[in-house]
This record gives sequence, C-alpha cells and structure tokens, in this order.
Amino acid sequence: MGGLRRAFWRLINTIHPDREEAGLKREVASHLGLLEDEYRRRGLSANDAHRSARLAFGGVDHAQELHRDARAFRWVDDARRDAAYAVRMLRRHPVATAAAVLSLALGVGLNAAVFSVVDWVLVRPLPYPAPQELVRVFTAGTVGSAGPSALSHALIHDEFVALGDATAFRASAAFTTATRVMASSGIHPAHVVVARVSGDLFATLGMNPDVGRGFSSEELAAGAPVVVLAHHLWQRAFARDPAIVGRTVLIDGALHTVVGIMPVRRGYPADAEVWRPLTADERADDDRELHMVARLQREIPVGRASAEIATLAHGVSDGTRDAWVENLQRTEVGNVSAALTVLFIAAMLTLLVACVNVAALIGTRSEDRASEMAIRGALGATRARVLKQLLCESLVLVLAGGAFGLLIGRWALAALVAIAPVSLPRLEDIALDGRILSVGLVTTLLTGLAVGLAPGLRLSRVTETAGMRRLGWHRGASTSPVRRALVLGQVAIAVVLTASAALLTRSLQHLMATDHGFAADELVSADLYLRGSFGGDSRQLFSELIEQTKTVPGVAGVAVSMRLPTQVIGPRAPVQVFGEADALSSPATLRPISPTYFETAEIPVVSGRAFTAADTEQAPRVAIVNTAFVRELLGGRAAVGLRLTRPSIDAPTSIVGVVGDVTPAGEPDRPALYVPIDQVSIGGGYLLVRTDRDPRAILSALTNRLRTAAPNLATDRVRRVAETLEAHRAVTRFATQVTATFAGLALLLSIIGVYGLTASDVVARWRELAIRLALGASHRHAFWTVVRPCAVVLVIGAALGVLGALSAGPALASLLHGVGPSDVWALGLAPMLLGTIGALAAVLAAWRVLHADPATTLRSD
Amino acid sequence: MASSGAPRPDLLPGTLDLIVLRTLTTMGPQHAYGIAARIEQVANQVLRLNQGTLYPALVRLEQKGWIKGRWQTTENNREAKYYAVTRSGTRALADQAAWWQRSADLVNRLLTSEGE
Repeated sequence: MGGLRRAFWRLINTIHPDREEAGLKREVASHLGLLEDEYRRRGLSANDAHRSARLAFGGVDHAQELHRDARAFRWVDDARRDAAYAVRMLRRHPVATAAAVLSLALGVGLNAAVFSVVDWVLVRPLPYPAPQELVRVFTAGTVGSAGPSALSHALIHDEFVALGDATAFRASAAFTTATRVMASSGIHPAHVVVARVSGDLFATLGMNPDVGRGFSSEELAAGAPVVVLAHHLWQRAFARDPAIVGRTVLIDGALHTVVGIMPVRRGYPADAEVWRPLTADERADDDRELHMVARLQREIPVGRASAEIATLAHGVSDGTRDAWVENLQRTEVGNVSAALTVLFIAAMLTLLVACVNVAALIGTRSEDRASEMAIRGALGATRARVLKQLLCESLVLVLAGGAFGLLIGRWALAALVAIAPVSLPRLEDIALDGRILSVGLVTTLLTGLAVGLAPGLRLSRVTETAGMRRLGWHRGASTSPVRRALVLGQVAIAVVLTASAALLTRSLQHLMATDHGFAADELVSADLYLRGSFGGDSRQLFSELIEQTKTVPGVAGVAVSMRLPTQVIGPRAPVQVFGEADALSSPATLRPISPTYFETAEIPVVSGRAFTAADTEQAPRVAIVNTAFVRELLGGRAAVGLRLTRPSIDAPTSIVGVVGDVTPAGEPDRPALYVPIDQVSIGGGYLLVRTDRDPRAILSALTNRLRTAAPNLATDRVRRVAETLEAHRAVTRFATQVTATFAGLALLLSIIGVYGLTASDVVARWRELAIRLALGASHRHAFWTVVRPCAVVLVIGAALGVLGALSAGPALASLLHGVGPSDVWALGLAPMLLGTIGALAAVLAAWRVLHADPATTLRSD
Repeated sequence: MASSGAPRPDLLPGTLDLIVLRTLTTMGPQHAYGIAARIEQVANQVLRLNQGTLYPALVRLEQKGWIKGRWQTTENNREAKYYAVTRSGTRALADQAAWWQRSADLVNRLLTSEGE
C-alpha cells in the first residue's frame, strides 16, 4: 500500500516539480536555525555557529538534490530537460534540422509504405485456417511429350479425380472460371466471373459461406444449378439482402438457386463472383482448363505431397504427364514477388542514405560542441549523462522525422496502392495498421540509436580524456574518415538505385514502344455476351448496335468481332487448300469479324481486299488470312485467289485478302483465318470502337447508348482495349515508378551528403587554408585541396555503385524486357549523373575558399 | 570504491528509513534536527551523519503515509516541521523491524558459522 501511495505522490511531484520546493527551503532554513541555536548555546560565536551548522548539515544543495530524487521520478525530469535542451539546440540550426527531419521522414515514410505492401502481399498468411496447408496443384507434360497441352499447367477432370485420391490431401477441389451474364428480377443483366467447381472447394479452403450454406455433396455430384455469391457481388447487385438466399437468379438464361454468401473478401479464386458446381457436360469437356487446389494433411511437407501426386499423374497418363504442388500463397504472388523484393531493398537503401545525412548532421554538431562537452565533463557530468543527452538529441530529431514520416507514409501508401498493378494480390486489404506502425517505430528508434550513438560515444570519450585541452584550440585538420566512408556508401547506393531505375525505365520504354499490330490505344470494346439473354437474330442486333454506336460523339469506327485483337488464341479449325490431298500442317485460328473490323482496328490489308457489306450469307464464302498464315501454313505462296475447305463447311472458301499480324504486347500472332460474321454464326463477341479522342472520354456515353439500344443485354463491360496490354506491363511500370522515386530521393540525399562533406571540410581546414593563402598559395590550389577528397569519394563511390548495380542485375532480370541487366547505357548514365551533380555540389560548397581574404580570417581567430 | 583500512560504519540502504521511524516512535513528534540529534546521540559518534541526508528518508516516509509532518513552534520560538508516526506507520514499523531482525539474524548466523 505504502509503495503505491508513494508512487502516486512521486508522479504528482514529477508533473509539478516545484510543488514541495518552497516547503523544503523553509524546513532546511529552520533546521539550520535550530543547529545554530544549539551551537550558540554551546558558546560559539554567531559566525562560528553559522559555519558549524552548515558543516553539520552537509551540502544544502546536495540535500535538496537528494530530496528531489526521492520525491519525484528524476529520470522523467532529466529526460524532459534533455528533450527541451535538444529542441533548443536543434532550433538553433533550423535549415540543417529541417533537412535532417525531412530526409528521415521521407526515408521512414516510404519504408513504411513499401513495407505495408510487402507485408500484406508476401508475408501475411492467407486469411484461411492453417493457410500453410493450402496448395495449388499443377500438371504438365513430361519431358519429351508433345502436343498442344504439353505446356498447360491446368488439368482435365479425370486427372483431378485421380490426383484427388492422394493420401497427402485432406481435401481438394478444381475450378475453372469464365465470364457469364447474370440477371434477376429487379437487376440489370451484368457480366459476372463464374467459378465452376468440382470437389468441395469450401471445405478445402476451410471457409464456408457466412450466410446460407455451401454445396452439398449431392449437388456437387449432380452439377446442380445452385450458386454461392461473393460478398462484393451480393453488396453490388442485391444491396446485401439476406433474403436473396433461396431465391433464383438467371445465369446464361438458366435458373440457379442462391444457397450462400461468402464472407467479405473470402473465396478462391479471388476474382470469382459466383461459384457453382461443375456440370456433367463440363466435366466431360477435355479442354485443359481446370485449376486444382488442395489442403495437405497436417505435417505433410510440400515435397512429399509432390512426390505422391507425381506418381499418381504418371499412373493415369502412361508416364506422359507430371504433377506437383506449390504453396497457394506463393503461386498467388507470382511475378509480383520479384518486383516487391526490389522495392523493399530500394526502400531500405534509401533509408540508409537518409540516415547517413542525419548522422553527419549530428556528428558535425557534436564536433562543434566538443568544447561544451569538455566543460560539462570537467564540471562532473558522467560519461553516461553526456551520452544520454546526445542520444536524447538524436532521438528528438528522429522521432520528429518518424512522426512526419508517418504522414508521408500514409499518402505514399495510398499512392503506391493507386499505381500498383491489379495483379497484386489482396490489394484492397492493404492498409497501415498497428503492426506496420510498430515496425515503423522500431525502425525509427533504431535509426535514432544508430545515428546518435556513434558520434555520442566518440564525443563522450572526449569528456573523459583531456578534452579540455581542445578548448579554444582549433579542430582537427579535416573531417573524419568515418564520415568520408559514409558519404562514399551514400554515393554507391545512389548509383545502384539510379542504375536500377534507369534499367527499369529502359525496359518500360521497350514495352511501351511495342508494336501491337493494331491501334490499341484508340480502341474501346464492349462485351456482347448473347447466350441465354438474347433470343433474336444476332446479325440484326450487331448491325443495329453498329449503327447506334456510330452516332456517339468521338466514335471514328465500329466493328463487331468474336475475339479482340488482343486475343491471339481462340477456337481453331483444320483447313485444307481446295484440290490438295492433305490438310495444312496445323489448324488455323478462326476470327469471325464484321466488314469494318480491319479499318476500325487499323490492321493493314497487305494484299487483296477487306470484307464488304456484299459478303453476306447468300454471297460466295470468303476469308482473309494473316501473314502468319501465309508464312507458316502456305509456305509464303500467293494467298489471294486460293480456295480453302474446312470440314464443317461444304462450300470452298476463297481467300480474298491478306492482312498484317496482330502482336499484342509483342506476342507473336498465330496463323489465322478471318471470316465475315454474316457467313458464320457467333453466340457473342465484342463491339470494337475506335475513337478520335481519349477513349476514356467516351466510355460512359457509349455505355448509355448501348443500354438504350439493347436494354436486355449486359452492357456493363465497356473498357479500353489497351487496359489488358497495360496490365501486362503494369508490374514493370509499378517497379519503375517506385524505384525511380527512390533513386531520385537517394540521389538528392547523397548530393546533400557530398555538399555537407565538402562544406565541413572547408570549415575544418579554414584556418590552415587561410595561413597557406597568406603564405602565397594560390586560391586555385586551396580550392583543390578541399575539393579533391570529395572527388575521390565520388569516384570510388560511383565505381562501387556500378559494381553493386552489376551484382544486383540478376535480381532485376525478371522485371526487365528487351534490356539486359548489364545495359551499358543505364550503368553508364548513373555514375555520370551522380558524378556531375556531386562535383557541382562540392564546387559550390568550396566556393568561398576562392573568395576568401586570408587576413580577415586570421584576424578573426 | 576504495575499501582500504577499517570500513567506516555506514548505513545499509533502506535502514535509515527504519531508524527514523523507530526514533519518532520512541520520541514522539519531532523535527528533522531533533531526529538527527537523537540518532547521533544513540550512535554515540560511531556514525557521522550529514543531517541533510535525512530529508530523502523523511519524504519517502511521508509519501508512503507512515509519518505526517506539521509546522509548529519550538520552545525557543522557532518554527519547525514536526513529524509524527501515523497508525499505518506504527504497523509498518513492526513489519519492517521484524523483517530487519530476521535478515540480520540470518547474516549473523552465516557470518559466524563460516568460521567453524
């Protein structure tokens, strides 16, 4: 009890340090009076009594100090005093302090932002029970096996059934996703991503719908028309109405009963909006498009599971197919992992560069204060006390930087998420939270210790040795080698980052300069999915939509096609030249299009003609081939005029023209046969629109026009064609933007470092230089004396940086396209840039040497 | 710390509080000088006390609520702060004294048994 009571009063006295001071003074005075009375009573003179009383009492100040220690928490008071002193000292150098705080804030803030992304994407386990047990299952043709499916990592249903028997699996499921149209009473038809599943996906994930239920084994076995909705679809389409469970929705025109709603942001794959059991027909379809997930038995390592399912896969395929498992989270992360690792390292390096500047600031100022410290030491301050005070100063500095850093971190994170590629998993989860804040705090405090302890230790030693001798004497001949090494490191890091950014920029340039073979940037597409939602004549619908769309302001051309020019793969058909014995060496990709397609997409007609309105169902069958067809299937012979036959069509088809290949994002085109949509029938496709302005400007007008023209159609997917191409380079673009930011920052910080180094060199050698100048040395000579060491630092730092960039190359390799990791241009630019600006900074800092009047300097000292 | 020659009798940490409490119990309400004089008298010159060092002990005891100080006038018409032991102070003295006795006994036993 007494202890608690005392702690309370000590706290009160800590908050009000002077609360008992007056009382104590009065009590001491009375005490001394009583002692004096006593001594006088013993016969001492007034003077002697006074002196003896003080002697018996001991030091009054000392007693008061002891009293303060006992009545309050002294260390709090000390810390407060140190902090106040530190703030005063820092305010005396506002520019240097602001520079240091800003450096730190940027370093800490950007670090926190990048760390959040890395943490959420790479580190935090997936939000399912025992996520380490979840794996993706892959299959592939064994070495030497051929055929179109040899490269596919997806499965056919029989493989899934066979692999699902593995004893290593507790549960497994397979799924395939496709975009379908969902409608319901009261909601407009809309495209949704449907995952059709076989096996109990929810049991595998260990996560069931939180409203309603999952699929029963009977429903799964029968491929019953039941669906589970993703939470965001439930929210978007049904306003989170729980009564939707048990009601029906139309998918592809067929009734499906809603049985459950998944929890927020849960469910696999992450882009699925609807889950339904795979039907028997879909199971029989042997297109390799099933993806398999499984939950491992407890304590079964991935390697052992892989070995078992490899054996199973060999067994069912006569040794032609292989299978393995990979941790689910790892496969989700994919190529983003490399980009994030690079960014994380870049962020850490930038923070390091910032730390060097802060350490330099504190170091310089503690040098300035060597005499002050020496006096303090002589007056009895212990080394620990001096050290504590120096540390306090760097902590104040660093905490200020950290606090600002948090603000910067918040918007940096928002910016990072805004420019992050959509392929980044869990993008919508990412936020600053307690975990990230505590990491930020620890980083900040460690930074504070690092930048404060080193100069602090050095300086507090000054107080122990005969530091007094330095009083009034000049400081050392030049700056410390430690500081030189630090700035050298800064320069090297800045070169590494700049070189990396240059490499990534070159790579991005290469990606952006890619010739897609069509006018990707001017195109808008609208998904036209007709199955189930449209019963009339699709040709009529298409021509109506084309007519309607033409009148939208900004539209320069309209066409309809089954596939977009960004999709080189598609349904294929074997073809034969009429009159020849054998079919052509491989099937051709079929691309049904409307007559204006080439003109709209700006795909050049190389020879012959494009389709016209005359190529109707009644007209003779015509086709147009691409140059890949001519090159690979016809061996380069003249194509126009040739007649082709296809098994599904009785009448021969005349080739009337040849067009250029499409190469979206550099992907090579495949031999393709374009046919008029009037001569084949398609169940849906795309409306392709070329604009004469920024495609974004017409998106909403186009959507509205389509909705009015075809109210029963799902017209919610209207987007720029370039989006998919941009997604392709999004990871590289993201890495480039962020690395370039870090590089710019590191460059700036290291320039400040170089400037500071030279400037303090000038200050340190000022007197020496003045004497030299007075003795007749030329200004140029003096100038070189201070600039030369900095030039050495720049040259060595740049050289080390180039070496570092070379060794960092392989880490970047997976993000680079069309440029090698040791690209001379990029590796040359970085040291040149840094060397030039660094030299300028050094010259600027040494400028005053050139204009110094030695006489003034010497007199002033 | 140098420890050459015969060690000067010094107070063990924490014992000063106990001594002050005990002194106040036997003497009744007393000011700091009175307590110091009494301790010096009992210690019989063996213990040289800087009288100022009493103050931390007094503030500790007062903060714990074991003693209570009040300004009064001495017989020589000087004002002084008189400290009196509170009820919880009396209880604490019993506890503390018993604890001290046990500790001292233990140390004594250990020291004496060592020589045998």
